[in-house]
Amino acid sequence: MNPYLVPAGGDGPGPLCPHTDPAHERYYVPVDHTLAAFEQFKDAIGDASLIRVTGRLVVAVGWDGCGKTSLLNRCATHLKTVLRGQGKGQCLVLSFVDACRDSDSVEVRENAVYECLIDELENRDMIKPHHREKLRGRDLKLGYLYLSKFVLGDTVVVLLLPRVEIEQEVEDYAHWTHKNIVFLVESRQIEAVRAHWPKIRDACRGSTPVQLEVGKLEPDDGWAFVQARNCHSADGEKHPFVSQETIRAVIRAKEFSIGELHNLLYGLFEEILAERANSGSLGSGLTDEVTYSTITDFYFRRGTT
Amino acid sequence: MSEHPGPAPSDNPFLMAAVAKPREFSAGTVSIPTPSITEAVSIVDSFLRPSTLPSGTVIAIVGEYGTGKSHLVGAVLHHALSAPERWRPRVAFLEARPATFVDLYKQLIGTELRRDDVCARVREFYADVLADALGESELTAGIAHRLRSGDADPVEVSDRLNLMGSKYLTRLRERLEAVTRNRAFGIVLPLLLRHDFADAAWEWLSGHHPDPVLVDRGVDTPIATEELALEAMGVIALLYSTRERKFMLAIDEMNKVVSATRKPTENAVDAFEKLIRVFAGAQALLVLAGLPDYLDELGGTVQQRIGRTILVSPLTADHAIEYIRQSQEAIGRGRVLHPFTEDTVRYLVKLTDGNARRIIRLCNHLYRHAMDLSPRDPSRARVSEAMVRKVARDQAGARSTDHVRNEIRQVLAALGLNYERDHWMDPQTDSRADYWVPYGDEEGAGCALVLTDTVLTQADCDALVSRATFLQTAAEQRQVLLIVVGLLNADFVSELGEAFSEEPISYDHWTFTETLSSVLERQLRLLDRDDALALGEERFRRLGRQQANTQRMLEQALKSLTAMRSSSERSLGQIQRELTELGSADRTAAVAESPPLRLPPSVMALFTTAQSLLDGLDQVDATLRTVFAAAAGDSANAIDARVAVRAQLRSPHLFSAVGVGALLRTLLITFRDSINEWYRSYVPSSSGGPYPVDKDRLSALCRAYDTVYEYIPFYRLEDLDGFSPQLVDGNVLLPAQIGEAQEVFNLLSGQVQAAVLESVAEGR
Repeated sequence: MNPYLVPAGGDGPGPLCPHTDPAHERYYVPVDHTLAAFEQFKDAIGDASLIRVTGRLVVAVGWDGCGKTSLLNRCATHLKTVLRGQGKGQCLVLSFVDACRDSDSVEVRENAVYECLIDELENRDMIKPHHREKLRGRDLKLGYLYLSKFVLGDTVVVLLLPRVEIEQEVEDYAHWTHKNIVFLVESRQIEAVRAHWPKIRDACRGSTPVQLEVGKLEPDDGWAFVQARNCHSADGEKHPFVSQETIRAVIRAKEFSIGELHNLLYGLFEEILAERANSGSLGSGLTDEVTYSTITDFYFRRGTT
Repeated sequence: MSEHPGPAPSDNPFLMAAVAKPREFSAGTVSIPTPSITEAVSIVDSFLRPSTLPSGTVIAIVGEYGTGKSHLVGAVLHHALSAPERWRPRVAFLEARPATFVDLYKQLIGTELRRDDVCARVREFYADVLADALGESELTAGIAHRLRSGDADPVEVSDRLNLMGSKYLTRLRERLEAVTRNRAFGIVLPLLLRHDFADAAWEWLSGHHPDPVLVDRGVDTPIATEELALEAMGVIALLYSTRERKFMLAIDEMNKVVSATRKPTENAVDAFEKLIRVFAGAQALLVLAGLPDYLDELGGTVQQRIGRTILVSPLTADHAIEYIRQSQEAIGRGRVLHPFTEDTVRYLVKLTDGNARRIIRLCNHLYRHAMDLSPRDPSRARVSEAMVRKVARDQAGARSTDHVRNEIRQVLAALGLNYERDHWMDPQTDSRADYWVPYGDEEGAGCALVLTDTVLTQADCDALVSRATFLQTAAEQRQVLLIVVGLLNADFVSELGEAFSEEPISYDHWTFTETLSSVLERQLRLLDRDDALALGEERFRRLGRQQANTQRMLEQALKSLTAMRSSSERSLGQIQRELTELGSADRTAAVAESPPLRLPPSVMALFTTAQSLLDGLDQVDATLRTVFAAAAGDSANAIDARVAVRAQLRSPHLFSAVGVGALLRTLLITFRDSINEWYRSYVPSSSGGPYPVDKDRLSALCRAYDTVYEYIPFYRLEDLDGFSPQLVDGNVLLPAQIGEAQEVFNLLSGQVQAAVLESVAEGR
C-alpha cells in the first residue's frame, strides 16, 4: 500500500482531521512551522475555560497546501479534548468548510454558515420553539449574540469555516465572536489579512484573536516527512527507497509546500507500485531507489501531461 | 476541351453600392496606391518593425463622405494582417455606428475580442508568472520552458503539481495591475482563470454591473461612462501589446461618436487624450477615421498628440483611370479602359469632384448603360460625356423620390421643427421653398430648404442662384439651404455656396440625415444668436451675397414675369375648371346618400379619438354657438362675449388656423369614408385573409392620407388656442393638447392600416 495515502482509505492525500478520526493525530509531522503554530495556538488559548466567557477567533494563514486545514482541525480537536476534560459542559466541533463556494458573495457565504449552524443545533434539539423566530432571518450580529446568550448554555461550539478570501469576512466573524463560540478561519490571502489585522483585533471585543501562520518546507522538513510516513507504513511491504540526500536536494531545488511534496511522493509511489504490480516483481526496497532524476522525470511528466 | 469562358459583357466590374467594408478588404480588393494609402501603409510598416522601445502611435484619417476613408482603413488592416506571423499584430476593428465610447468598448470586448481570446491573453501572463517561479530550478526548468512556449497550460500545471496557486495568482494580479495601470482590471482579469469566478469577471468586463463577488473585492463600478470606457480600451491595448506582441485598433466613422452634434464632455476628451498617450507609450497603433469634425471636437490637445493626420484626398483622373483598369482586370477582362475613354473619365472626375464613391457608382451605371446600347457588338460600346450627363441626371431622378423627402421629414420631426411644404415666400417670384421651417419670433424668419436633382450646367446653377436670392430677399432673418440629390459639378460649388447660406448638401444615402440635422442645427443657432457682432457678420455676409446676385436676379425677374403671366393664365383656367367640377360634384353628393359606416370598433375608435382631439383644438363652431346663445340671454354677458370674440378675430393668424382645422376635419372624414368604402368592397380570400390587391388598395389609401397630411401645417392650430367657449363664458382657458393631437394625426395612417388588417384577420 502507498505509504503516502494519508488519511488512509481516501482517494488520495488530504488534510488530517483528528476530530472526526482520532487516528489522524499520529500522522502530524512537525514540518513547515505547523507544530510551532499549534504550540502558539495552545499558548494563546491558555485557560480554555475563558472561551465560555469571551469566545475566540483563530485565523490560520498560508499559501495552498501549507497545512492550514490540518492545523485548524488539530486546534479544534485540542479544544474539544480540553473543554470536555473540564467537565463543565459539552464542546461541539462543527465543520462548515463546504457550506458554500469560493465564488459566493460574502453575504451569501456568511448566511450559509449561519443557517448550517442553526440546522445543526436544531438537529440536536438545542433550539426551542421560542428561539426559532429570534434566530431565523435576522441580522447575523444579533443572531450570533442570541445564540451565545440564550441558546448555547454550557455548550461551546467550535466552527470550522469555509476558506475565506476577503479580509472583511474575517472582520465580520471577529464582530460575532461571543462567549461559547469559537470561529476557526483559514485564508490564503496572507498579506491582506496581515494588513487588516488591526481592524480584526479591534472588532474582537473581550478576546484577542489568534493569527497562525504556516509556510513552505524547510530543508530538513522533507526528510522528516518521508521518515514519518515510512514509519507509519505497517503493511510489511518493502517500498521504494528515498535517501535523505535526494529529498534534501529536491527541497533545495524549489520551494515546496507540504501538500505539494505529499502529492508528488504519493503520485510517484502510485506509479512505481502500479508498475511493480504489472511486472509481478516485488523488487528490493534498497535497490529500488527513487533517485533525484526519477523525481525530476516524474515531476515533468506530471506537470505537462 | 473548351477554354475557361471569360467574363460576359454584362458582368459589371464596378460595385453598385461603392461602400467599402474594411473587414472585407482582401488581396483581391481593387485598391489604388493613392498618396494617402501609401503614407498610411508606411506608418504601419514602421510600427511593425521589431523594436524594444515603444513604437506606438496614433493615425487620424479624415475626409468627406465617399472619399475612401473606410477603404483606407481596410487597406491598413489588410496590410498589418499580411505581415509575417512573428511580426503580425493583434488587430481589432470597430465600426462606430451612432454610438458612444461605451458602445465602442462593448464592441471591442464582446465582438472583436471574445472571452476565449481575452482568457488566453491572461493565461499567457499567468504562464509567465509560473515560468518565472519554476525556471530557476533544474527540477522544473523543463516545465518552465513549456509554459513560456505556450505548450503547457499554466492552470493545469498548477493543479496537477499542487503548486501554491494563490501565491502565483496574487503575483499575476500584481503584474496585470502594473501592466494595465488599473487596479480593477488587476483584480478582475486573473479571475477569468478561476472557473467559478470567470462568468462574473467576464460580465463586468463586458460592461455590466459588477457581481457581488466583485463588489466584495473592491470592484464596484461598471464600465458604463465615456471616461471608464476609454480607460478600459487603453487597458486592453496594454494587455495586448506586451510580451513582444503588438496591438492595433482601428475605429471607423469616429464622427458617429464625436461630432458637432455629439459633443464629447470635457472628461471624455481628457480620457481620450489619455488613451492616445497609452497607445503612444506602448507597442500599439490606434487608427481613427471619420469626417473632419470629430477631430475638431476632440480639441487641440488631442490633435497635437496624434502622430499623423492623413487627409484622404480626392481621386485624380489618373487614379480613376487606374481604378477602372484594375477593376476590369479583376474580373478577367484585362487592364482595359473600354468602354470609357481617358476624356470621359476626366469629365467624370470633374463632375464628381474626385469623390471615389460617386465615381464608382457612376461607373457602374455608365458601364451598364453603354453595354445596353450596343447589345450586339459590345466592343463598339462607348461612354461619352453626354452619356455621363444623362446617366447622372437619371440617377439623381431615381433618388429624388419619396425616400429623400421621408428622410427630410424624419430630421425635421427629430429636431421638433414645424414645417410647410412648397411654401412660396412671394407668389410673384421663383421663391418656392420645398420645405419652409419657420423659426424665431420675427415675422418671416426661418430656414428654407431647396431640393434639386443634378447641377451639371451653368443654367442649372443660375436657376438655383436666382431662387436663393428671391428666397433671401423676403426677410432679414432667413437661412436658405440647398440639397442636391444628384451630381453637383465641382465648378459650381463655390458659386452656390455664396448664394445659399452655406455650401450645398450633396445627398448621400448613408449620411444624409445626420448631415442635414447637423447643418440645420447650425443654421438655426445663427438665427438664435443675440450676439450683436455675430449677427452683424451674418447680415454683412448676407448683404454681400444679395448684392452679388442682384444683376442675375433682375434678369431672372424679367424672365419670371414673362413666364408667370402665361403660368397665371394657365392656372386661372385650371382653377375655373376645377371649381366647375367641384360644383357639380357637390350637387351630386347632396343627392347621393352617404353609405352607412361599417367600421369595426377598433378602427372606428382611431377616427373617433382623432376627431375628438381635433374638436378639442378647433372649437370655432362651439364658440360661435356660445356667442349666439349669450346674445339671446343676459345682455351684459352678450356684450362680454362679443368683445372677447372680436379681440380674437383681430388676429390674422386665426383665419389660417381655422382653415387648417377645416382641412384636417375634411381629411379625417374623407379618410374614414374611404376606409369604410374599402370594407364594403373587400372580399376575403379562400384563406380568410385579404387578397394582395386589397392590401395594396389599403396601403394606397393610407399613403393618400399621408401625402395630403404632410402639406398641412398642423402647428398653426396653436393660433386657435384662445378661441373657445370658455373665453366667451369668461372662464379660465384650458391649455390645448396640440402635441397629443399632432402625435395622433402623425401616426393615424399606420395605426389604421394595422387595425384594419388585424380586424380582417380576426374575422377569418
